[in-house]
Amino acid sequence: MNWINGNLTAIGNLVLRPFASWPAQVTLVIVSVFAGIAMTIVFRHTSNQRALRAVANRTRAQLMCMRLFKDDLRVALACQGSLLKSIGLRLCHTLPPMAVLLIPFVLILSQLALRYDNRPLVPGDSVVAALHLSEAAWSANRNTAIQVPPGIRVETPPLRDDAQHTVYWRLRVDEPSEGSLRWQVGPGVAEKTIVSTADPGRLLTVSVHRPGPGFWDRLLRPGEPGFDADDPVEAIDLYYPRRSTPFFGVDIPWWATFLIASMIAALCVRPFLKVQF
Amino acid sequence: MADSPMTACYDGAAMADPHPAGRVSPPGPRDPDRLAAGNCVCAGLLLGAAILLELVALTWRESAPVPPLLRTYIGPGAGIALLGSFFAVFAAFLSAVFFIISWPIRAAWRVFRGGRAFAHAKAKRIVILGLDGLEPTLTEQLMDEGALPNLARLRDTGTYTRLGTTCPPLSPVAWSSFSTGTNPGKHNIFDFISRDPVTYRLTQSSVRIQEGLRKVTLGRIVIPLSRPRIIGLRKSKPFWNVLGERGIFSAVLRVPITFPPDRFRGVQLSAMCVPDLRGTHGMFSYFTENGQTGPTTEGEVGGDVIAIERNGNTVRSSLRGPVNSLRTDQPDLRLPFTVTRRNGSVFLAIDGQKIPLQTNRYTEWVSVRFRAMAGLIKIHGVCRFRLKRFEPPFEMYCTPIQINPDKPVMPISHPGNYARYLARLMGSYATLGLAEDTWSLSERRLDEDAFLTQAYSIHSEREEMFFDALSRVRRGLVVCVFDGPDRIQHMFWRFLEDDHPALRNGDRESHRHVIRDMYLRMDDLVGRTLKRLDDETVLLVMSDHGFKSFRRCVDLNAWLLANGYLQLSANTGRPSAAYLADIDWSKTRAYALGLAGIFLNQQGREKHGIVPRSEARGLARELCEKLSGLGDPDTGEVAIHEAMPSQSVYTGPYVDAAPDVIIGYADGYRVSWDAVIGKCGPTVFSDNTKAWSGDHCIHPALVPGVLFCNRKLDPRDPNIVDVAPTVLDLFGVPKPSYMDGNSLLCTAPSD
Repeated sequence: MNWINGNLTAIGNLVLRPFASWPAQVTLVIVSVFAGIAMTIVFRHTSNQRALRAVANRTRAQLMCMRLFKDDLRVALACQGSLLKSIGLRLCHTLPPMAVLLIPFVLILSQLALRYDNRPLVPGDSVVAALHLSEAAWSANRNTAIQVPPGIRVETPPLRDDAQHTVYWRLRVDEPSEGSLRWQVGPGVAEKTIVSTADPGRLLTVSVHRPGPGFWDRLLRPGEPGFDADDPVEAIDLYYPRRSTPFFGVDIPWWATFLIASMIAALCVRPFLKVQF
Repeated sequence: MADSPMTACYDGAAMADPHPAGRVSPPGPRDPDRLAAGNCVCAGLLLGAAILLELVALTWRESAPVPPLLRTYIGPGAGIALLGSFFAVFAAFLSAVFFIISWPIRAAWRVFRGGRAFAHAKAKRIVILGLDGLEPTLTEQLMDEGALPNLARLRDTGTYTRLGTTCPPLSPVAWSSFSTGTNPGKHNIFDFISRDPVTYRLTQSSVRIQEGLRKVTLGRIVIPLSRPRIIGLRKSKPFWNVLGERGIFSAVLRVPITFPPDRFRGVQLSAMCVPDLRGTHGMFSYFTENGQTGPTTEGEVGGDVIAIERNGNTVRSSLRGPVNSLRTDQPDLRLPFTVTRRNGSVFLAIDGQKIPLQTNRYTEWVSVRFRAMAGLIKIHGVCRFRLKRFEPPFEMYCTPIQINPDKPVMPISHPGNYARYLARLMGSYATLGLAEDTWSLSERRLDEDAFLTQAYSIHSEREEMFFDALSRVRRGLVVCVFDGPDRIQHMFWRFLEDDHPALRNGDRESHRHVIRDMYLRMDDLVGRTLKRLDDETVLLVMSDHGFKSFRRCVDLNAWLLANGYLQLSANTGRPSAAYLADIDWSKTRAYALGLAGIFLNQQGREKHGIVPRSEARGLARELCEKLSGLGDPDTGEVAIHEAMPSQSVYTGPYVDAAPDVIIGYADGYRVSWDAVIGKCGPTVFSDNTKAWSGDHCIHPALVPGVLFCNRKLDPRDPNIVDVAPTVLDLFGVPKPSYMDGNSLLCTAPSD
């Protein structure tokens, strides 16, 4: 998983590097449109288009039926029953492409979350870092100290949560920097990247969470390699500020933008690709 | 510093909140408030969809870095499908609520407007199964043999009688009398075709399509400012309109002469006289590598033979569509296609579609679009292809390009979206009035089996529509006309006889069974219909006319010429040009056109009329006397059973539009192919050698139809005009005064 994540993140960085200085919402829309088109193509080839078309036609027929035979309540309700059946069937037909799309889509979304969920820190920002230790390593390492790169200052002493085996620090950014937070834990050193920049709109990989050994945790947090199961550290969090991606003055969550833009793109290319959703 | 499991401890200065206010952001992924806020944005729309796929995504619910709703969004395809489904469910729910709430109001309104629709009804539902051209002698023979058990059951438990037909016994005439309960003098349909007396040009009898009158011409471009008008020429009022006024719902499917569709309470799909996309009664296309190209027959019937270009394993040509009326030169719109053979498979590439072709197999309906005005205007059609051979010489048949029922360029149903509803429900279907392509068999572009496949395919479509209507209309009227029996008998009658001129040297046995099989199939349809009926439903199975052999042709124009009633222009050879083109009107007193009879060249009516109105009746009588009993010198048989002046046959305001003399041919005879289109052939009598070997355009007394009913009816001399009053009577609706027919219900109807 670490290998896959590392490569995907590298590819993502490569692709998005030319647009790093562009407004985040613009790159988001561009990425969404391309993802929408790509997914539409995949959907076309992994779905039973003939069956989907037939079911979609039947669905529309039932809607028309309700109007054409509206005088007879029983017939109109029967049409509605058939309509629900058609809808159920339509959803069944979308399951195979959904199963195929699930993995690439999760990977894409994870990569997008890495860039659009949070923004990099800027001078003046405060941020909380949380070191999650394993139960076995807690007693021996609960007093571990944090080492910060130049430009970052530790604002508060550590706050230890014995129940969660977690130690918190509040950090402050004095200057833009790119480096790692470090902790001496047992014989090794645990690291967590920290990104601060002068331009908060800059599109950078911002890893909120360095994951533990869990598959889903690693799959969905691809920014940094995960800790192994026998590692004394379970995970490290750095609570970056949320990135704002406003459109026309309305702050729309990035995922909503992605959802809308990709769907619009899919609908626009649908006639050309002859795809039935 | 003592640490308790539930408390946090600090080194040094206290930190009241690990997530301080100010610019320190709240943690994203683990913040439940933020997730909830995200959900709220779209919850209203995506709730249904989210619930469904949340189950799938359950395993990673708590650990995902993105909002749960997004986890349900697996690509835009699924997203759109989910959203679409959700909206459909939402619409269905809303409409259900609306229907339930508004139903009492609508019911009250119906009572207020039309009285209690079924208050005096003797039946809750009436189903009329029209089997066009079912011949009583064959039906009776097969019933007696036990081959038609369902019809025999109707006969034994209900009613069977021969049903009188119209004069002339032609489908457009007879079905118009069926619809209106009137004689042709009141509904104005006397034939398939008619003529404009001002121009002597051929016209359709039931519809006139008028171009938009207002238009602007810019160079070669014509911009229409008004829409074309489709004017129905069938007069009087169909009985489903009368029922509608009483609040009774009707589903009327493919009853001839319903184009443009009637407006009434119910649904209707138009039939006979619906043109193809080129505006004709149906012209097929035949693509070939060798031989002569161009139209196969004169006029707007038959087909077009079109050349192809071959380049190795690729064949190119184009489909001929409607004329581009948006240009002054009005060229035909064309749709190019290629047929390619690769690895033993043959594919047709047309209009962005790739369709596999199998030799001697029809494709499904293929949607085609003809583009005008640089693609701004698209004319949608449907057609089916049949590859005969790919190897040289290439041959491929294409049905007439029909109006796409999903995107009709003309109104072919009432309400407009009924045709679309059917298309969505069952896929595309034949919309052409005369959908079975008899010309392709007559012109030998299709063989008998290919024609049969086509006819039964159309029949199956019709069955699907009919049974859908039957399931939707629980109270009211359902009428559906099946044309298959008519077309199949027209084309296969020659196999029933040992010496039919159209099959002198052919293999008679190969298709002798076809007509019998068709009767069995119709009986099966009746059986399946009966299974779907309850005790309160009345079933009428009927045909508009019967069928007889068509062995000999009578060229009325040749007879008129020989007897001095018609004069051709000087130096005109025979046969003369079609559409009365070579006639010397200054010396012509009578001319034949169409299937029904003879027109007089009457002063004040025809542009170059020479017969004074005062002499018209006398001339008509004179012609009737001479033509009645006309003998065929080649066979010694009587060719014309009776010729009748239209004034004595019809009553009503439109009698003057009828042919002045109606010809009732004897069994085995019919008007010649030349005379139908206004030609004058070399001889009066000739053999009919076309595959179109059975007909019914003879004397009406010789070709009655059939009438079956699952109730007892009064069998005394019933006629097709009696069906409408009978249906009205069954629904308890008084017969309008204009109707000529009478109810066939017994005084004390038997249930």
